[in-house]
Amino acid sequence: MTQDNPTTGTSPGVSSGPAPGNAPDNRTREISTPIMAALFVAIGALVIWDTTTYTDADSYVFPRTIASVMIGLSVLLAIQWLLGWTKGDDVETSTIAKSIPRRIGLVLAMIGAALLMPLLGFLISGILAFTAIMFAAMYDPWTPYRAIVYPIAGATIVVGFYLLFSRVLQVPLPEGTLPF
Amino acid sequence: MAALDNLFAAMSPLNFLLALAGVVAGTVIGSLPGLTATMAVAVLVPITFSMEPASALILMGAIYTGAIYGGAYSAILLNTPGTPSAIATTFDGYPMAKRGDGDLAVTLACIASVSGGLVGATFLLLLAPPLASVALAFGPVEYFWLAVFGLSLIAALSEGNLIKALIGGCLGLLLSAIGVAEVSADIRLTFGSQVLIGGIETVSALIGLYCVPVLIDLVATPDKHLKVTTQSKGIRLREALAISWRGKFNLIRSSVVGTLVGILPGAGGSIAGLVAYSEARRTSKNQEQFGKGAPEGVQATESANNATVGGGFIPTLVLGIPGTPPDAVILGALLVQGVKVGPNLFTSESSIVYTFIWGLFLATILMLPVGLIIGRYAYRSIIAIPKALLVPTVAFMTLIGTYSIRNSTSDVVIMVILGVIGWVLGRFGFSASPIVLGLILGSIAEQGFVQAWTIGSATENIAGMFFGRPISLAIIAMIVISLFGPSLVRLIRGDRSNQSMTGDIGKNP
Amino acid sequence: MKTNLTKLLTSAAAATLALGLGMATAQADDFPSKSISYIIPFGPGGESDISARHQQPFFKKLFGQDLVISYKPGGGGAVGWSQLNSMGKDGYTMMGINLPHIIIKPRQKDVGFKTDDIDGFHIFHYTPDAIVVTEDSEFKTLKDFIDFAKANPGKLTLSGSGKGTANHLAKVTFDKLAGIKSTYVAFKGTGASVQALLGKQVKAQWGYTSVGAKHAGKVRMLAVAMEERHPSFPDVPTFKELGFDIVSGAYRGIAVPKGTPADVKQKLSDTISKINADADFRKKMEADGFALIDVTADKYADFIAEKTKGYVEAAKSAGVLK
Repeated sequence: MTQDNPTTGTSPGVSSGPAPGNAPDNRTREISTPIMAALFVAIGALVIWDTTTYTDADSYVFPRTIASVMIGLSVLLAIQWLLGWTKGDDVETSTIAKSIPRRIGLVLAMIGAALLMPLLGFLISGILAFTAIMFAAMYDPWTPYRAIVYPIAGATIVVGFYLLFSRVLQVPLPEGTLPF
Repeated sequence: MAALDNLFAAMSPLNFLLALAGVVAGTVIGSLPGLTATMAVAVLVPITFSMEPASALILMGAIYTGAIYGGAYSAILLNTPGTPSAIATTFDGYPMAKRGDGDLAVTLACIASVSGGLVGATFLLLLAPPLASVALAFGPVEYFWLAVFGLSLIAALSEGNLIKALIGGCLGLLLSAIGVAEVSADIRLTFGSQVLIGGIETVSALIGLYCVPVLIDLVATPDKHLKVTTQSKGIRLREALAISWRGKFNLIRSSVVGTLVGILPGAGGSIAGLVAYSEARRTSKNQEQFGKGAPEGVQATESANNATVGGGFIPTLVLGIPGTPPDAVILGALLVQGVKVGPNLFTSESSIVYTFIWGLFLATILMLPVGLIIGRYAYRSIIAIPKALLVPTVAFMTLIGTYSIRNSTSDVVIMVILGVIGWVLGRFGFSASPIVLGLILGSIAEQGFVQAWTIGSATENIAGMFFGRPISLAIIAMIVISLFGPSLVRLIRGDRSNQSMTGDIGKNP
Repeated sequence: MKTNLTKLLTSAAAATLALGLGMATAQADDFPSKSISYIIPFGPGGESDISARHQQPFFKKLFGQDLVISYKPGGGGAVGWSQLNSMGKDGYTMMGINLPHIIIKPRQKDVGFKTDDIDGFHIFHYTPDAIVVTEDSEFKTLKDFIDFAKANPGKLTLSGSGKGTANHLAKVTFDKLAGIKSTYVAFKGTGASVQALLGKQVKAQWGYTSVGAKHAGKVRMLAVAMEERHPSFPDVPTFKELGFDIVSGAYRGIAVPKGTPADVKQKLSDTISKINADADFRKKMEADGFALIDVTADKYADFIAEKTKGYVEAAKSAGVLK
């Protein structure tokens, strides 16, 4: 993996550090690590609080133990940070800042589709999401060829999958409450 | 030998067609994120009512085995396990694809899947009744330790900050506890939200944590999704065969691991893949390549998860206890057909079972050409399709796939949110895999622990329960070796410069 | 990709034609004019699924329409039941219901539905609770079992499916009636619980008659929680005969979204009764250990009320309910 590949951040393995060769980013680490540690302590505390409402002893042993371990690990992480051992854990932020609107557009389109499904039905919300994401992912200029082929291809894909799932696989996809 | 007569029965034109159709349909279904082998088999059940039991079994077995293999495509090409069995395939498959070896990875996965499938089917053919007792020898405490073994992979594979990886694992374990507890009677960690009552569905979480971050990064740049090497042509079968031959011991070991884990009801392909992966890594000469695109990683997982097919049928057919979720559906279909499962099935009604087993062999072998052709096609489409179509198509597939798992729109929302959380955490050095390992192993670990504790307290022998049983001790030994083996070896050699298990590994040199 | 899609489209189109797209109105006269969607609020392969699969071919035979089974698992059924009333009210959608789930779950926390929200109308069978031991077990009779428990309080371990379930509540009720203290080990589902029994991880199992049927030859039942002996197990006594008043099990039935016309419900209910009365069906189900009953719409409310009393009491003493 090299620097020119900006998607290295989603390392697919269990590796959690930067790819070898990436320069450590000394500017952001100072803030993120203690914030994350505090966040996980808070989550752990929230879990332990929730376990106090359980009626069955079998139910709380596990989450309470794990939450305690997580809090302990987060404290260790904070100590690591204090000792200056967490340098280079963060992925460079300059690549994150790039194309923020496109990233947000993608996420909003996906969540929007899920929320609109019960209302508009699966097909319509799927087409809307597909269109929105297509614009978010479009970097090439819209030539006449693309302007014709892409929407047709998109519609074929969405309708094709819709029919595959609803008719062949008999998945009861949301119909929507609006009359179409 | 009566079994041989059934070989010819399995080769009847109808059964051949069923096996072929099943493998093709299974491979396609398995490659779609969200469509699991369980669902593929469940869809078929009504169709099988009108068939002979042996043909019905062949069709369901073929679609099952195809679906387990198909999961490798999306794992390799999109970093999204199409089925949970393919989780560990993403570890090395996706890095291979990124560097331009996606075609090679897909072909390797196909060869490995066929090998694993054949080994699993061989065990089913020759040793099913005696091996079924393995399922019974595994009590709650053994399941607990098996889950811990799977979790130990977090540490063994962690390259960055180990503490962050462990925190991720804890987060995953806690996520697994959300919703109505599977065994005890409480409703946990829902914080009053009805959306969370159903819990975090594992497959949708996989899609969210693995695929959504890839999509978020894909839209951010105009770069190609996968690097394409100019010399790549065809399916690189010769190269893949050479690698497979070199890795034959890995393939055999992983297949045996897969078969054995497959025999354990409730463990399933995902754990089989993880255990085989862990063992492959431990015994490999180039450990540091694991997680960065080591072909052995893909081979280990894919052979192991397909071996669970044959392995899983062992308790299903001998004991009537389904080995894996798809087996549960198949068992149900058999019951409706009036087939009584049990050891007798291997004697009195032997024609059904042996015809089926030969059919499973047939389907597995058919998977080689089918898998190579579909795999080549899948790879070509992924690299040829322009980004403005690829991203929305994959995104749409995640939407429809996630919805279909439980027919739930809430699952879709949870999937996207988990994806965003996974992406953000990834920015801060918390990668997705520990969370996923925690999530899939959490309920097995918890149930095993609580059950073992309950039985141990009742018999007033908790320590003996956890540390006094031979199989448990063997698994504990494996955990210790996998966690500390490399360090121990180095310690013995007196080489202390490269200890990897201490907490300061996040420290930059 | 494109050829692939073409293939998919072609097959999808063919399937569409084959299924037909009836746009029928929901009137009892022409009901049913298309297939009925039957939602199981559990995953495929479970007991609820298997019993629905048993009904599927008979439904088609007696009703003339397909029964299309789909799954909405999650939350021990709660996810499905909480959404039931927002589904189509034309009779073409129905959902499986299970006791004691629909009674216990809503009393624990807010799970999005109340027992009374469920418009159940036909309980068609139950799998009676039973104490199951392995064939070579030291317990030959229920008396052996009780004697052991009295001599070794708490040491008698029993596997069972989940907590707050039929198995668990039967255990609590029986322990009280017999004056014993046993240890209940909850497993995920009956399959895992049988696995623990056969592997001798536990001494006995709170299972169902279906376990005795499915694993015949490897297990024995000491007693079954039925009014009368199960036709498939004439040699196994009922708890009642032995002096313990327990008739319990996992009951299964059907509900429709509230607002479904009464005559449509009646037609569905009649069909279920007819399926239950079918000789072939009876034989199959009884061989698998099910006990067929017909709690029809008019008797449904009383049945639930009566069961609620017993379940809630047992759940409270089990610590499942506060």
